[in-house]
Amino acid sequence: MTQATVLLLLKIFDGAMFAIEHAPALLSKWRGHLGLIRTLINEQRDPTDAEWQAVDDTAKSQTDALRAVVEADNATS
Amino acid sequence: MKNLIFFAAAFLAGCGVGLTQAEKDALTPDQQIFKLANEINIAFEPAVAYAQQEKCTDVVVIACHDVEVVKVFLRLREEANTALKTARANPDTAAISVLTGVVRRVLGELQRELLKAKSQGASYDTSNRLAFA
Repeated sequence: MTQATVLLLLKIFDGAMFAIEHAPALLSKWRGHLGLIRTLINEQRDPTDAEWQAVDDTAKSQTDALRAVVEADNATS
Repeated sequence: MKNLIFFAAAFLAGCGVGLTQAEKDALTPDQQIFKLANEINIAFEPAVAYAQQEKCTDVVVIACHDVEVVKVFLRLREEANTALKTARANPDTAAISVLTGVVRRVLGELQRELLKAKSQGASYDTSNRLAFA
């Protein structure tokens, strides 16, 4: 087995470990999202205030997080 | 392989976002907007992880960010917020169509920025996190 082959195998292993570690988080969010949409269709109802609130809270926290980084940079530069 | 995984994460962030014709037929306007709002949130996960550096433990973790890229992420997030707010204030077919167009454009740009961040050298550091090499 050449050194190049070993390095290639290590890279593949490294990438696989990353996928195992992170893909479930992303896929789980998608599954949860699609499950919720299915529930809305099956129950023939619009999102509740609480469901909207959860979405709004996430959007706000994402916006705040991004803004905080930009403002911190503005403050230091 | 790392590049491939990062590209896959960026792709996942934007794939499947939007409404199929069947969904347009089956979902109420509120449900359609709710679906888009949820998908926008999921799509921005990697961008927030990128911006938050080592504080983040979800989806994609990068130990060093380019603040210019984060500024773009913030602008895109705010554009999406505004489009959502407008559509929710008047949830009809025309508003949803406008929202869908904005979402596609914003998430397309988001993906390009994520990939640009990657092309600037994001890779693993020794603690198994993504970092700028």
